[in-house]
Amino acid sequence: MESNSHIKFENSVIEMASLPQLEHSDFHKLEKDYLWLRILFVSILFLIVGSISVIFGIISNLDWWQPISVVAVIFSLVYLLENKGFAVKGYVLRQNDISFKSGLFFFAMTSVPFNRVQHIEVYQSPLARLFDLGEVKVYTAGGSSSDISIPGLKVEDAHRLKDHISKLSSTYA
Amino acid sequence: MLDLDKPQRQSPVGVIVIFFKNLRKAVNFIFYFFVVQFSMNTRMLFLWIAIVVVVLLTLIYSILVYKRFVFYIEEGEFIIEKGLFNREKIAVPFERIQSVHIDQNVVQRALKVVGLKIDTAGSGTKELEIVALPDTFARSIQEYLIEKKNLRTDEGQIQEGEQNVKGRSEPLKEPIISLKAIDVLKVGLTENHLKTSLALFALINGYYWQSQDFFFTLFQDYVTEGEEFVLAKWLMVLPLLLLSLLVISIVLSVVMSFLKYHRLQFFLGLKEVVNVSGLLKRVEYQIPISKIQYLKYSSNPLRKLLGIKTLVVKQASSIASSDKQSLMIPGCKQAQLDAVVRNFFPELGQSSLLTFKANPYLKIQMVLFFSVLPSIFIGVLSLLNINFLFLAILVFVVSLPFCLKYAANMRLALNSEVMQLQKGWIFPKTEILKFYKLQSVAIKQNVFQKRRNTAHIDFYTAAGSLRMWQLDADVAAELYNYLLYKIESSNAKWM
Repeated sequence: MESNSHIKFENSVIEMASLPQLEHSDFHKLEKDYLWLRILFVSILFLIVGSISVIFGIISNLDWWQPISVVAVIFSLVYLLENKGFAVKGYVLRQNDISFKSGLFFFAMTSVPFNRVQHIEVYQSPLARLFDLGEVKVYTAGGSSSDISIPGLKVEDAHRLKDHISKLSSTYA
Repeated sequence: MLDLDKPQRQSPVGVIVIFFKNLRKAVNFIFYFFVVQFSMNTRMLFLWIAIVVVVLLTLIYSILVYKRFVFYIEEGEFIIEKGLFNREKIAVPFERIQSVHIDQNVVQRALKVVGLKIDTAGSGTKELEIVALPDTFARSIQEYLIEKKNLRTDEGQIQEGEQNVKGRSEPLKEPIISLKAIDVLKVGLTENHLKTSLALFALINGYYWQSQDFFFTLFQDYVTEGEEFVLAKWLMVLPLLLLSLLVISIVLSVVMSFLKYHRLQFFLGLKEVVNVSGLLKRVEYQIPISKIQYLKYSSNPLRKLLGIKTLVVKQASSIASSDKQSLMIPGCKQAQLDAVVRNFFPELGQSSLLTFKANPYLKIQMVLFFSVLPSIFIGVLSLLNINFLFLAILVFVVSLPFCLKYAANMRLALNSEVMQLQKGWIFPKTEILKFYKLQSVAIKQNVFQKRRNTAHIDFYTAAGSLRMWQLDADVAAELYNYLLYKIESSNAKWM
């Protein structure tokens, strides 16, 4: 099969090697604060789940530390994964498109060309407000799975990114 | 003259239309009271009171829904306000409107009103429907909105429409596909009856479980007398039941086929495709060519024998994944299909296609998920009854070739303008798409794929997403870059 050869098209002069490549090294990391935000979020969850498990543990005649240690083990795994997962997340803005990648176990990279952007918004969750972080959501006409949302940007960066993309995409509309 | 500046309600009979829509949901609720009535042996009176209350509540609810529903036009937007518990205001700018449909169900026909549906494209938008309007009023709204929409979009329009037209010669007076009675009969007979009868079975079963308390009280004496007897009887009844379901499903399919596809004619116009079909109600369905995102055709074993395929015209819609938004033409002969494909994708013939098969890892994946795991699951049951072991082996042996064939048949072929995705063995399907119709692309790679160096590519269009499974990772990466380049360098409008 041709699978190993480079893609060449009879009808076109484009050499694959000359096409702009999307390299992993081009990607920007998210703000470090975003990791702290996630850790805070997971900690809140841990407090809630932990206290519930302690209550249930006491009801079913266990020592308080037994259920909480099980929950703690699970959550320390989650912390580890958050940390590792953060390293995978990244975005890159190019002349004609924007891309986002994420997923430690299920890696996914999605690119949206600016001439296909329907609209863009900046979203801030209550927790993100504490850290002054924002999320840029880029919508296309291809349904929710084709949209990308880039979390963990400084709010002013998020707004700047949004304005930049709106300006570029409006030239196609 | 059309006056929509002030908020308007639907015709008063809309209450009845809404009532019937809600009643369907209420029926399930009423059914519950039946069950309770029989199992608890309460008085018949209780049942009647319950039914009256439910119907009355539905009626009151419908009246309130009707009262809260208004529509009007304000500053270039069509606006609907509705909602009983949470008020909602949906505003559609004229240029976002894709099409305006008018339809009529049985209730609406009896009340001499029609429903108006406004279709928009883009994610995060909602379907807009006004269920009861006088016919002439609905048509004037339809005309008005389409006129306004064209005014708005013409300003920014480029010549993509004309480009499409150039490839075609004269407007086609003859339908490119037409079905005779024999074709429709073939379609009805070759419907996927296994699926329909299983669906029927599930439906009946669902009601059975809902009401099993009731059945148990009825059959209590027999059940306690000999549970094994009942089980044996059930096993005898089951094949008979399935057989009768199969017959019902065949008859139903044939009837439905004639109702829907009788004298189907599919025309290719300059700017739109037109499909006319139906026995009792002739339905004329139009899709602007620019709105068509991709074509798909599929078959099944019976249809392969008869040499017919089903063509599906996928159009951009706000509800991307639903098949309701796409036009389905079953019973096409290969020649007719070829003619349609040639017309839509002249580029397919212009240069040879480069073909990529899925990585052999897909075979392992398919066999694991659809052959090995199910057999292991059934195999575990053999601890209870040794017969399950044979079933497990049977499942494995039967499913194995299906999995292998499915994986072997997966391929992506493309040239510089068009891509063609082929999948399936028993139910083969082919999807054809021009690159500029893509909205975005994604590469997916899980940990196992990373080790095997393979990846999926997802192709997102405004009519749903497609996936090529398990490409070699380097091919996937190259393809990804190429697709982005094609989308970004194209000036053609995807709609």
